Amino acid sequence: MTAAATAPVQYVVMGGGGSSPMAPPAPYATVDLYDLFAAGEDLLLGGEVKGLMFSLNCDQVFLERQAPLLERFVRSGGRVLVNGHVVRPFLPGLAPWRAVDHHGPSDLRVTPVTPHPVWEGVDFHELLYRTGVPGTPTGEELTRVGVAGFYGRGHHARVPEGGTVVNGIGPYRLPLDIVYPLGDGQVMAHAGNDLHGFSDPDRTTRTLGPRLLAWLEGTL
Amino acid sequence: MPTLGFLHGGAFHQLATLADPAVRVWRPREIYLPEADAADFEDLDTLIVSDRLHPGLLARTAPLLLRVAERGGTVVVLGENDVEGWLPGMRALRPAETNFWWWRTGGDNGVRRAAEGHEAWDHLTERAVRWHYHGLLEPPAGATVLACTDLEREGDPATRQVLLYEDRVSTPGRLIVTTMDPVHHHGSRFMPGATQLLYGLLRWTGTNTRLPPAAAQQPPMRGRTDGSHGGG
Repeated sequence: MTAAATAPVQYVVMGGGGSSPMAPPAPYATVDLYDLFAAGEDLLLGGEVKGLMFSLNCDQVFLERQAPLLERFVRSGGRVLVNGHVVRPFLPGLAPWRAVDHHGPSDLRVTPVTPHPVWEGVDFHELLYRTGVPGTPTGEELTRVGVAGFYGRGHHARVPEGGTVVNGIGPYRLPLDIVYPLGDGQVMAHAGNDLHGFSDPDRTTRTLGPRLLAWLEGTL
Repeated sequence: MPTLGFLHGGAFHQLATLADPAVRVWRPREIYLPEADAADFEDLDTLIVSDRLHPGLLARTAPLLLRVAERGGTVVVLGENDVEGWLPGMRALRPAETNFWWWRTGGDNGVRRAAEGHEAWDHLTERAVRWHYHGLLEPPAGATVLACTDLEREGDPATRQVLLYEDRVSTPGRLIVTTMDPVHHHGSRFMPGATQLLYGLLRWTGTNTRLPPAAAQQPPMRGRTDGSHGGG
């Protein structure tokens, strides 16, 4: 493992390949999923790594097999962000993803349900829509040119006991972003594209990325 | 019925695609990339190489999966994969702007169909190739260009800005290569055109076990315009 691998927050990806036009630079280490677990217990349980954020593309067949070690990491105080759709629940409390039958942006609207410091100060309209047009359209202009769905198109089938729905999707505010305790640690599950990718320096979402990293480090 | 393999890496969109009843009717052999070995590819007529696979594992497995084409079968290589260094014939894969929003702002994302009359178009709708793409291909001489883009500035769209081609010259079989990533978007329930591309590719390559002779290659129809398909 490289020195970067002992950074407190690790962004776990599949080889680092693939383009991601929305991902801003961020102060975390990027590590390959297989390399992370090949490094063994000492890395994950040694105390230097505080938080893991799993990219949506991660191999869930492999993660399911690594579940015992991952659970020990969280129970011993680690924090984990699971991005994407859960198909193979690889931690206690995770549940399979369920699609929303969406026919327009209002079916995908993101609504805060329980205030959480990671999303503090964020205009949820700016989470719903993405656009690549020049400038920083907001309000009605963003509604006109934006594409909804990047943030989420479905929800977690269940919220575990003791868990909190942070943000809901659609008119019934189904559990899109959830957080729950597991041992001495916590699990956050975001049923959409990688959460830190929605942090934009020109928008109210600018604090989302830094706050997420602070939460993963255990300082927020 | 042809024997079809589907190479995946355990990602949610790949697992969701494999669970889709409309995909299951093709009875795909599920080949999990970290554990793939020679026997998995031995008797396949068609192999779908899912998009967004782990680049190191994919490169390591390439010699095994290419045997499908070397034996006369079809290998479909989907987009957002690191294919440079192992994919026969391909001259270049260059980056391009990925425009997810064209249908909200302008109505034309530059995609042009080519080789009208090719059997691919019996199975692929216009919409199947018009949503977005993740790069520009430069296919080998003799390959059939099926879709290219007028946007970008890398050169002749029909040779240097290609989004989908069929190559029956680089192996005894057939390589179908694209920079579109239909498994990710179908499995994510995001982008209906992607679903049409995935289903169309399965029907095209899952139906024809015996390749027709690689006879006269049609020149791509350049500059064809079609405004009939906007929308997301």
